[in-house]
Amino acid sequence: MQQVADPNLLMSARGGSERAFSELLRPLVDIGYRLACGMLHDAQAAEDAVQEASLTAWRKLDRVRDEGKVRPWFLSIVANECRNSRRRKWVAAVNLGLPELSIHSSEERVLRGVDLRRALAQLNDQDRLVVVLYFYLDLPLEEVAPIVGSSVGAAKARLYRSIRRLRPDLEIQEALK
Amino acid sequence: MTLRDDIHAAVDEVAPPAPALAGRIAYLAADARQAHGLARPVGRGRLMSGLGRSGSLAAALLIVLLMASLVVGVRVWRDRNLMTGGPAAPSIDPAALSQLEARPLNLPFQPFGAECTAGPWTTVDAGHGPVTASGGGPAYGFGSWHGATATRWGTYADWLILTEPNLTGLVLVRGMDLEVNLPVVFVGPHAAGSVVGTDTIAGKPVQQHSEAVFDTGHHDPTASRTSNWGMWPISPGIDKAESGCIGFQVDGPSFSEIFITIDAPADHHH
Repeated sequence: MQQVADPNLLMSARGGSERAFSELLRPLVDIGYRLACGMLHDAQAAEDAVQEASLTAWRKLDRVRDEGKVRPWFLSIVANECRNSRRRKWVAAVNLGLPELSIHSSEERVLRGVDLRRALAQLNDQDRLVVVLYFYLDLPLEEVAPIVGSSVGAAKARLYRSIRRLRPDLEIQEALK
Repeated sequence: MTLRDDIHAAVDEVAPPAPALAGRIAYLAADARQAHGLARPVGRGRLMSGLGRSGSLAAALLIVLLMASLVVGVRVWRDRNLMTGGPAAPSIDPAALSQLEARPLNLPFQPFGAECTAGPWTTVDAGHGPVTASGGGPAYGFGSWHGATATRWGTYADWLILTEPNLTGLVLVRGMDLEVNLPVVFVGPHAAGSVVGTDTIAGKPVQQHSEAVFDTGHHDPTASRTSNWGMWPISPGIDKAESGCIGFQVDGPSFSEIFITIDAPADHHH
């Protein structure tokens, strides 16, 4: 379900109220952070990306005309910060985010997670963004498309292509569940 | 477990709760307001950047900066020429161009959502150090869809077509989305052929053309030459409905080559 921001908050925030801005962004911080974690696989870098995105959002808030578009707009800024973050790292050594093994972690599950993160990291930025938005944030393609900046059809093409790379042995319809 | 479950589990392992983040952002917003919107925090990644870089990395960076400066120059040139739809083209032999245009597009169209493999790639040195370019020669595409200019219609990139020193004659560049059959359009320098649409870039109306054409045998003010290589700026554009898998066919009197790029529009929204 697409969230719609409170129009009064948006108006106040655009008028310069940092309190309104904070309230506007509060429900978006967690999803933005999760998006950044999905893109960067590094919690510290993800926090930095969301902070940077928030400041960018603060400066460019006057570009949002429709309260229904605050969430995709903010997520697109987070995605862009993630891309910039990866660019700043130059040829980034992919952080596989190997967690410390605990007695609660089965070796198989950990290895499967590492393997999948490695496969995700090998997708190009736009394809990974579509996968994270669709599978990890559970957004419908209709909401994924404006965040990626493409049509729904193009987002679907990216998703299909990415699924084939992540799980070549899986039928598309099976993977979309 | 489904793929969705697997992805949730894999990412959750590197996404610990960040309960203080929202509060920190609220603080930063207030701080930024006090600083008239100019303050930006210094991220940990930035503090670490620049430390421990190797000399070879710096050299590689220098090469990329040199090539990037060329591409930026292209963008400036393109923007300057947007209003007129491009600079005055040097004399192009219409008969020779017609011959090239008559060649069919042999691009490897593929099913929607199929695997898109970019390439072929070739390491070339056009006088600014070795770079990885698209194509097998004698013409090569150099550029990226990263940092491309986004409009309501789609995305425009700044590319250079690098031509080998011994190449002469007209060169024709055409492109298509390989999955949704949308044509690549061209604006700015060397845009030619029929007008297929219009758009607005940086507040300026532009005409979209069906192809890019240049004559490697003539001096052209938009081209630069180093080590006798030709560097021809072009600005291909792709529709927002593109699939991301873009094929180019480059034709000359004695060759025809194809290369595939994968786009990654970087900044559609801000």
